[in-house]
Amino acid sequence: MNTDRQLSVALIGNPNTGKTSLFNMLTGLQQQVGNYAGVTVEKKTGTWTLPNGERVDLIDLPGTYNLNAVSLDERVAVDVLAGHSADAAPPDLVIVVVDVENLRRNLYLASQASELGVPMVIALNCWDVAERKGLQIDSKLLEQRLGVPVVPTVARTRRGTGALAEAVTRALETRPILVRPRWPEAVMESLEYLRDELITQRGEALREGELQRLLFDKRSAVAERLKTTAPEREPILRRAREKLHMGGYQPDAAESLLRYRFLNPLLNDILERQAAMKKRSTSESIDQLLLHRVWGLLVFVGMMYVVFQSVYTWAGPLMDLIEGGVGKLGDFAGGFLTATPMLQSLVVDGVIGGVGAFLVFLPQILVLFFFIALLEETGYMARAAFLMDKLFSWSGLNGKSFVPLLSSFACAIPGILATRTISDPKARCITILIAPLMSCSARLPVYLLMIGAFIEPQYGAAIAGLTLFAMHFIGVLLAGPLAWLLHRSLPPYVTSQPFVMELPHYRVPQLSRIGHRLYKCGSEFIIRAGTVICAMTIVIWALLYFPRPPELAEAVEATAAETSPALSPAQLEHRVNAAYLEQSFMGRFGRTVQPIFAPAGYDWKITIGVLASFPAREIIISTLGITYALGGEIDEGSDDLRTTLSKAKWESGPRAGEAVFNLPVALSIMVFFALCMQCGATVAVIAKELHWGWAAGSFFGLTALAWVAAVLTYQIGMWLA
Amino acid sequence: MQYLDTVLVVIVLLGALAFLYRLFRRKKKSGGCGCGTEQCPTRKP
Ligand SMILES: Nc1nc2c(ncn2[C@@H]2O[C@H](COP(=O)(O)OP(=O)(O)OP(=O)(O)O)[C@@H](O)[C@H]2O)c(=O)[nH]1
Ligand SMILES: [Mg+2]
Repeated sequence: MNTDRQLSVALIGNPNTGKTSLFNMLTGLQQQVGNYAGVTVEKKTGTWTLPNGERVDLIDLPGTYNLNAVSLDERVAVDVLAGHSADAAPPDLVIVVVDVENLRRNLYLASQASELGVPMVIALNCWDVAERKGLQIDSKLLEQRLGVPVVPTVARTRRGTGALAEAVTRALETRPILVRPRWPEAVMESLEYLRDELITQRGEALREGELQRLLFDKRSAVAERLKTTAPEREPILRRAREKLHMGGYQPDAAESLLRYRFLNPLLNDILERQAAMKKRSTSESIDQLLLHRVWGLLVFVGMMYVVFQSVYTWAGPLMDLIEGGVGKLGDFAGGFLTATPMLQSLVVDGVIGGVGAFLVFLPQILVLFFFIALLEETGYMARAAFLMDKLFSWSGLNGKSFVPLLSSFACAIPGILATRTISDPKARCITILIAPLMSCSARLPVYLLMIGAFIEPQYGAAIAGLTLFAMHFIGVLLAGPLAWLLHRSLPPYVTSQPFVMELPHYRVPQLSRIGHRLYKCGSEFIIRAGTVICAMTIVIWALLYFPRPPELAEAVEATAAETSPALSPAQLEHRVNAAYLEQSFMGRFGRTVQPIFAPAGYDWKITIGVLASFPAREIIISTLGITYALGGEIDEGSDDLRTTLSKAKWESGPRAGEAVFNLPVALSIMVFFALCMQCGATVAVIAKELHWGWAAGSFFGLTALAWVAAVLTYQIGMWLA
Repeated sequence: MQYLDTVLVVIVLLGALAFLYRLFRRKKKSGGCGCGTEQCPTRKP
């Protein structure tokens, strides 16, 4: 073995067996863990220090059921195992993470992997569940039969990781290989034929395990790596499979038949005791209810109702605290900077006003994410996805689309990356294109602002929660028909797959994990406020502040003295400020573009808010904050943006004197933000994962859709009112 | 004093622009939205 290179150990296993949990425990890193299949879609590497002080590279891989590797994420796992990954050497050892509750199926993958000739250690994870359910698995007996170390572990609590480390240290020396099946004559002959044709005659570098993949898999990633061209290799592969057929084995089913025939006798007496224990478990009866067509949906809606309305009932006091703090800070900084009025405006109206308006929503966002994390950790979210699958099957959405779409509710970017689990390229494309319609957390502050200003004060927390829920649902409602249209208009690829998502086990959520997620979410929000949002806020402040010709103030004062001499100094100042704001760069631009948004009921201030948020949605909050602060309409530090908005009036035009924001306008703004593709990062990711043409198409398509929906909302709202 | 005021504001503005420019150049693809960037710590309802 090469001693200069750090040894590497890879974690493989079926989805949702706890690979990443184990990885985090062993390396001290914090990669994403979640109670559903398909959380990890990329390879992650960390350093693990073994008990003898040696440091090895530990590689966490996406979960996979077998090595056929049709989807992109499975491909990552298989490439690393076979040593074909561009940036990772082949692992010196693999730890197969096995879910004790599904031993047989999990070991199938181990058996396939052993054919690649990599030494192996098996971690029997979720041992705590086995103990609780009284499954008695004799790990020592299993170890003897399989020929590799078998270590019970509990990745959540670190139990067994010491024993695992020792087993790995020893295995790196002794290099144990899992027992392999003895293939029947027909398989041997077919493999021999392939070996002769490809290795001997054409000089391909193939391992035994890779030959098997070529023989057993209809479409194999290994084939694409061969030097032999497709027209030349296809007849060879077909011939090999024909030989198998003539020997009495259906080529597609041969492998699972033979491997299970080999594994079963090794496991049967171990699992028998397990089978006797299995009655109808409580989890199955709960699922009967939660997955029911009618009851399940009712429970889902009820649960969402509780979650969304608690956003309004729980977060209040903390929000007041932050609001008060921001106001005090503004007063303090303002007093400090009186000598430099321009800088004072930048700091107070721009940075503190803009970023502060955004920070106020942190508590509400944390409350929402707390519930979401809770539901996800228990395993309920995967069931909700299952329900949605039933509802949306007509639209041609792939069953595997639901986890990515669910992830898009936090942010479309990881959602789009998670589509790598979808093996059908067409279904993957459709899922990527509708992912931005799922309401991501960046839209949340916009909803919270509008609902907080116009719905909660009048209609109370319950209706406010309902509106928030509706805003999250509107994208889902439109996603169905859109997916159907795309499904109809795109050329078909291969037959779509049935729903393959495995329902995760119900688990008691770990408070520490939820706490950690909230901490991460919160710190990310604050960091974002302090960096990107802050920088953009400063730029927007400048565009709203300049130019500032001194003549303007004089002119306004002169006219005021003539027409309405009774104005108080404060009112006069307000007029001057408003005049400056209107002729600022952004003000002029907004008033030019405003007619486009007039049908949706927006004035020029909302228009610039909407336009400024195209790089990132949350900017509208800071923009509105600065606009009203510069216009002198936020009079006291204590007066928050929500109240200011509800007091805003049209200054000129046919509706002068009327309130700018009424219920239809607020709803129309929310609908626009719910549907529009206002996220530069998402556009870039779509371009990277698909093609820039798709990115441009989805940008313009969704923006147009958002405009139409916003106009409809406003017009219907006004007509009803 | 007015001079100082202008200079300070210009410095802050240029700083903000430089920051945004660097951010855009460095990672065109991520930057994330809201609670999640590419290595998104939080996902989904
Ligand atoms: N009770 C129990 N739960 C565990 C254990 N290990 C992991 N879990 C839970 O199992 C779920 C899945 O964990 P992950 O680490 O994300 O699984 P994974 O194998 O990385 O999943 P993918 O990346 O989707 O393939 C999480 O909810 C964990 O908290 C364990 O030993 N006992
Ligand atoms: Mg994982």
